[in-house]
Amino acid sequence: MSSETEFHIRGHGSHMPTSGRGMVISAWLTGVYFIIELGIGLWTGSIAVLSDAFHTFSAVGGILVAVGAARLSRRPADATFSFGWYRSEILGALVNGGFLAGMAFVVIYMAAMRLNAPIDLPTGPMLLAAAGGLVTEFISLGLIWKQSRSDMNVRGALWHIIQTFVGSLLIIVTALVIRFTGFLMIDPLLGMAFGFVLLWASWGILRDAARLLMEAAPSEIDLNSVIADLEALDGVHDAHHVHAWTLTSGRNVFSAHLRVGDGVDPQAVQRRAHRLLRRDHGFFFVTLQTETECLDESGAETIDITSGHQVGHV
Amino acid sequence: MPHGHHHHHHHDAEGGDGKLAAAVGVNMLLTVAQVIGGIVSGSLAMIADALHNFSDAASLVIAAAARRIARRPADDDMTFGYARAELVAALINLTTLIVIGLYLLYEAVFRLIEPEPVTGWLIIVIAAVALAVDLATAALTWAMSKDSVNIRAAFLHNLADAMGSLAVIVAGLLIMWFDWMWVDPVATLGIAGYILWMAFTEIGGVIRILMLGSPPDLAPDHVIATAEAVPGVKGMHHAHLWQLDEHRRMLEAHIVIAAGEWGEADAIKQAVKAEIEGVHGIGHVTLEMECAGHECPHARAVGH
Repeated sequence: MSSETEFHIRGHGSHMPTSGRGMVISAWLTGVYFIIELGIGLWTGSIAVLSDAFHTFSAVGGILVAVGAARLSRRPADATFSFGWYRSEILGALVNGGFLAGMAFVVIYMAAMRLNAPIDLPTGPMLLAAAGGLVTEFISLGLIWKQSRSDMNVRGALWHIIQTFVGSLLIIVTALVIRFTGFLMIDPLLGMAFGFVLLWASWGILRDAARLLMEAAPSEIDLNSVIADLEALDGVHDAHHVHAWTLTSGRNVFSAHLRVGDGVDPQAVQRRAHRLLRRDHGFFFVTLQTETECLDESGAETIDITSGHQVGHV
Repeated sequence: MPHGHHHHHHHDAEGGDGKLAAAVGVNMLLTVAQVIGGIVSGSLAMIADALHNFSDAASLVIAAAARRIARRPADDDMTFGYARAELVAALINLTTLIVIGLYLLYEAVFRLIEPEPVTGWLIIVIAAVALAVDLATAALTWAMSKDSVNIRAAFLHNLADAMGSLAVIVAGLLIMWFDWMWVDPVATLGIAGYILWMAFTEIGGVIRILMLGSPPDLAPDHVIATAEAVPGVKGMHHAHLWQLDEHRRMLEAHIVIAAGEWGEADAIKQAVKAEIEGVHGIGHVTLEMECAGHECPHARAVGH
């Protein structure tokens, strides 16, 4: 078991946003830009500018959450949090998604109110805000473009920046339409449209975070093939009461009961099963209960996916 | 259900669903009525209050939907079942409640500096109708909220609204009769403070469960001591103690069987499980067995 234990300890290195300077610089840039854009949005009263500012905020929030969670998740396990603090990242994502959804509703509401009574907008400051946005977004894109090919977290940030880019384009369209045609409704209309984009983006974040917090099986793992592999091991009669879940993205946890034959050395079975689960299926942490007969766990049937087809399970 | 003894949330689940549906219905009805009323009368205040009630209905819909989802049994996708949906819903509702609390705080401070005479009989009547609906919702959800943090979060939303409506009525009357402009911001300040305090109190427990923290009333040391007191057990380590939902506790750990007792390993494990379930009420226990010769070296008691 000693090599297993060492693997465990080494396995604790940070997998978080690798990020580095590129992410930090683009976070600062975007943060400063958010404050300027919010100011311009409140001053001019343009919904399009405001909604883009909110989106910028969520991009900054996403990066802050990633950076903060990277710090928190390095905390070691203790008596209260025996799995460590990895989950702080997921909670951060859920809160960020919630904020984004809230802001989407605010934007849509404001746009709906404004449709009743459009106001005249100074197009100069709006174009200024959009230009500032385009500059920030180009710099950020340049900083993290290379990294985004290899890192999933950075790819998320890239997607955010592209959305803000579209937001800046919308502001330019709005300002130009108002300047040349005087069609004031364009601002709430485009602002509302972007509000729905925000809503859609937040839904994706909320859904992924909720799945993880609900202990969903990792999507890249086919549980039935894992069970089949376990049952194919020498000395294993069956695998039951199987659970697979995810601590934080990339760290999968597995637990199961293995029924072994009489006279089979359970320690040897465990060693083989651990190797299979860790090496072939990539699980980060595994707990296996070996037994020669199945114990009845009263009350736990509702969370046993194998109880339906498990012989001897009452 | 093969076993009826292990769960609260099965009895009168149907009745609870009915009450929640009624609460959602009442709030939605008022929302629609206010939107129509607002458009017909041209009152922006009425439409603004409609949004208010809609947010109430939305928080109730989230809570009710989570409650239904939570009853689904385990499947290949959710191997522990769907119970945690209620905790996710509670986290969302409590987070939005905190945002609302902060917004109210901002509004109150703003109005203390620059008082805004929001009054008139129309506004008071709108607030009174909203208050009636809020009270009805509270009556429908109160009993359920005691046992479930999910329903409690939606209930708090509703409570915040009820207090807001009451404040509008009282402040409106006082402004009309005595011209006491300060009543409105001061009442709003009080409500915001109360809401934030309640939400922050509740959210801690939810975050603890979602972060896989140990049950607040049960130290892992106690569980380890219980296991190690069973004859034949040399030690317990790599213990992970966490909660699946508000009521169900889970344990994963390694136990080391004393030298010479390996032949009895299955019986010892069974005894440990029975002891842990009997003493601490932990029904879901996974124990990885190690014989004394091959135990993990320098393993930590808790965590890994």
